[in-house]
Amino acid sequence: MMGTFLLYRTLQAFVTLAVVSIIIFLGVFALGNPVYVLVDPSAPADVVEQTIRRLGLDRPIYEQYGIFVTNALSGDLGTSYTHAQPSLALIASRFTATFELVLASLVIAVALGLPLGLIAGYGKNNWVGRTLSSVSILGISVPIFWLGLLMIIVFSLELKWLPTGGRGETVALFGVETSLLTLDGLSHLVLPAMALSLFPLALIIRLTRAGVREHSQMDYVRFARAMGIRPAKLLFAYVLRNVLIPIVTMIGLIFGTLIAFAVVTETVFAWPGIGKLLIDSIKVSDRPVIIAYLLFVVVMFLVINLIVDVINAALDPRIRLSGTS
Amino acid sequence: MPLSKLRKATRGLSAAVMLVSCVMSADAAADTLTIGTRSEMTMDPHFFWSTPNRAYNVHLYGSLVRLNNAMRTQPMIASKWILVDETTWDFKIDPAARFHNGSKVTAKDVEASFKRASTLENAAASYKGALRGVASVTAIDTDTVRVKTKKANPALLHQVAQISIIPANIAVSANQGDFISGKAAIGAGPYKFVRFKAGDRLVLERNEAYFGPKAKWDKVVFRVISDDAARVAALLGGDVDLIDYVPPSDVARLKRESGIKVFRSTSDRTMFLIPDVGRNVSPFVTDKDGESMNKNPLQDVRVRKAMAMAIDRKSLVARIMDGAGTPANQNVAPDVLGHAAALPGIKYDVSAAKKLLAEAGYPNGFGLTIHCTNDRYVNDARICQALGQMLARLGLKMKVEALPKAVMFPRIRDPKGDRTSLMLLSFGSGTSGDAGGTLTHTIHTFDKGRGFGTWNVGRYSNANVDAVIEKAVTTLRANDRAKLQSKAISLAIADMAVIPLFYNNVIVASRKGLSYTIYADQSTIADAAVPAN
Repeated sequence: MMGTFLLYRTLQAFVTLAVVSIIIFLGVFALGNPVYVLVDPSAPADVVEQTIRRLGLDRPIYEQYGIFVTNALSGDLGTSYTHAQPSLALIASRFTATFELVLASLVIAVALGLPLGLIAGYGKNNWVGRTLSSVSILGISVPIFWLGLLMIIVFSLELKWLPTGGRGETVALFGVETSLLTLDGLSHLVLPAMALSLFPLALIIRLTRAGVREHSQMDYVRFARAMGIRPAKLLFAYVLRNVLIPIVTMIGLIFGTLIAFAVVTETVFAWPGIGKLLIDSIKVSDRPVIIAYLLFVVVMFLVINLIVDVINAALDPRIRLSGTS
Repeated sequence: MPLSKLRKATRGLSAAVMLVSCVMSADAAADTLTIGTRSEMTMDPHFFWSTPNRAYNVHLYGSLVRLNNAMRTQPMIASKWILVDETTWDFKIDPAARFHNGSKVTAKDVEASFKRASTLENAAASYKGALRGVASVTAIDTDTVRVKTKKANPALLHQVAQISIIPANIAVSANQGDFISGKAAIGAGPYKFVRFKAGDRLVLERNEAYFGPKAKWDKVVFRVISDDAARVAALLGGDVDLIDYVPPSDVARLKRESGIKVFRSTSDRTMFLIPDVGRNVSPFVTDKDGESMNKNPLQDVRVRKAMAMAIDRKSLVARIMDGAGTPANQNVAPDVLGHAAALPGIKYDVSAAKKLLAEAGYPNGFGLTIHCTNDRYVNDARICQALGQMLARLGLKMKVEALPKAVMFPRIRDPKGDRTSLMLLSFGSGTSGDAGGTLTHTIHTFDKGRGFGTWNVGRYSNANVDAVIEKAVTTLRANDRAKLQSKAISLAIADMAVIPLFYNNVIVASRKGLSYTIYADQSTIADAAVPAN
């Protein structure tokens, strides 16, 4: 069962990748010749032409795509025009920064969001629930760049508790640079992680509240209550388990979205992650990085969806892993 | 202002915390300079030619000569140079020059570095672009490098100043990753490589064995903060000592802060408009009703002059640029060699401009689209909108189109495409050290084969002007060259080949207690900052 499922998903992933790579290539091609954006204005025309030929940018698009695919299959997604580094290595080197930022913000969101959502949903339409639900609307609608700047003004410029931005000191853990283990690193992480957590936090509160309220009306809860099961056990062992399924799906998606597009937070807090890398690369037409990045994001989402499906199947035996579901 | 209220509200609370944090930060090394910089760095010194990259390289690597803040050449690895004949230069290497690993800098190292800089694979913005007209660079003995140029080439010193010198064995074997890890980051500059983290920071320390004047700081940290607001916040928060590319709109506020100093000076860049004078029918010129026209009014010099007179440069600089500029009457900045000092200013006079436009046969104006970038120059899109309004007052029916540079530049460089009818451009003179670069690239007739007029998007062409420009680029005597270039500028401005707007400023801000010397090409240099007395 699991084997067929994985095989089917892998095949599906390859088809998706092939289609997306063509779309990305067409899109990037439409931007125009990147060399004109990158060269210093005083570079003479013949040097520019030579460069274009050497990079193969004068060839027709299908030839360029062919060369790209051939190289990609041998693991070479091109060298960044501006960073002088293979684009995959570049993405990998910045990925940990984004990953720990997103991880921290999701931990905050789940640790606060689930209990708050449960409180808001369990009590019968009480003021706590209403307040939490209106506050969470604020969390969804406040633009993050504004919130980020506000947090910098309050916590960094006025209170001077936390640094204004950047990534703090890192230490290597199993070869991966992380700032989660140093005090300086954590102090740099707090503000951006809080800013980034607001949106998923609000969503989790709302989803949990809605789920709990919905399930409290259901027959199995009534029967359980009638059987005299303790409210705490009922809530955590039965209701929460059911409520979690849509939340896990959502967290999976949000996780991917935050990693791929945390660009606003990363820009405001000068966090050296991959979202910032993408925007900077688009600005200067760093074609190999743009393409590698978007393909990386596709792969990431495919993997996340796979993990979400597996977790949901574990949570609810009625959900079955199969190629067709 | 909700933000200022918030700041007031928290001020009281912060006083106590501030006291604590001051005590805590007092023991941070007094001789570390932390710079919040806009631009990311490319660590391989021969991979990506750009002004910001050159500025980082100057700290780490030496070059034969280096440029000072006014873009004048100074000896560095070459202690002196001799012009053997019109096209042959001999550079004598300073016998004291050493690389960070202790080995002597030899002519072989210089030769190998130039070779690597002009042949490196995958380089999209190759340093070869800096070596226009250079025929060869060879070591003729251990401490003499001979550079042959194709013609007499007065810009040569500025050109060799672009090329970083590294040991020959590294030049042959190193790959890009070795410069990122620091393994190959061995130069002859005043600072040594400590650590680099992509997108985050570059850390340098003083090279105690440097053969020239000692570096001013024990340690220099460049922190990449590309967002304007975040960079300003980092300075205000005391996380960095100095920031470059200060947005003009924040200058007034920064000046009010007691702990901050703002430094401002003229740059070598000029903003100007390029009208399409080359085509008999221009794609973005229409009549008043938006119908296409069978002629191009921009070809009439009276129309171009009318447009130039309809632009209120003072308000443009004061309101849109928040004072960060000076009204211009030509496309070469005042401190640049060749600037035509005798040229009169362009008068702002809308009624005279209207009269001139009527005289040219367009009493009711015509339709015109102005194109500009929205992410290349400070306030570029806003400048464009203001210009659109000013030209509308002249009676033109204006459209403003602001595009990202990733879209705009390929479009205007495509000789077969539509290009633009009127576009905003800024050009600096750093790499030629005089008006030569601007003139050959934006004023000389477009000539792909000979590499002239690369940025002459409007295809202005005047044989007289071309002759003067060509004579100037091979005139070695600076005074004679400056005279020729002034003449070329005067002729081109009489034709209104380009419509000058203003000379740009460079703005840098620091914490109190520092003094900073501005570099005209906007390079950010650690040793330009010194503790103020």
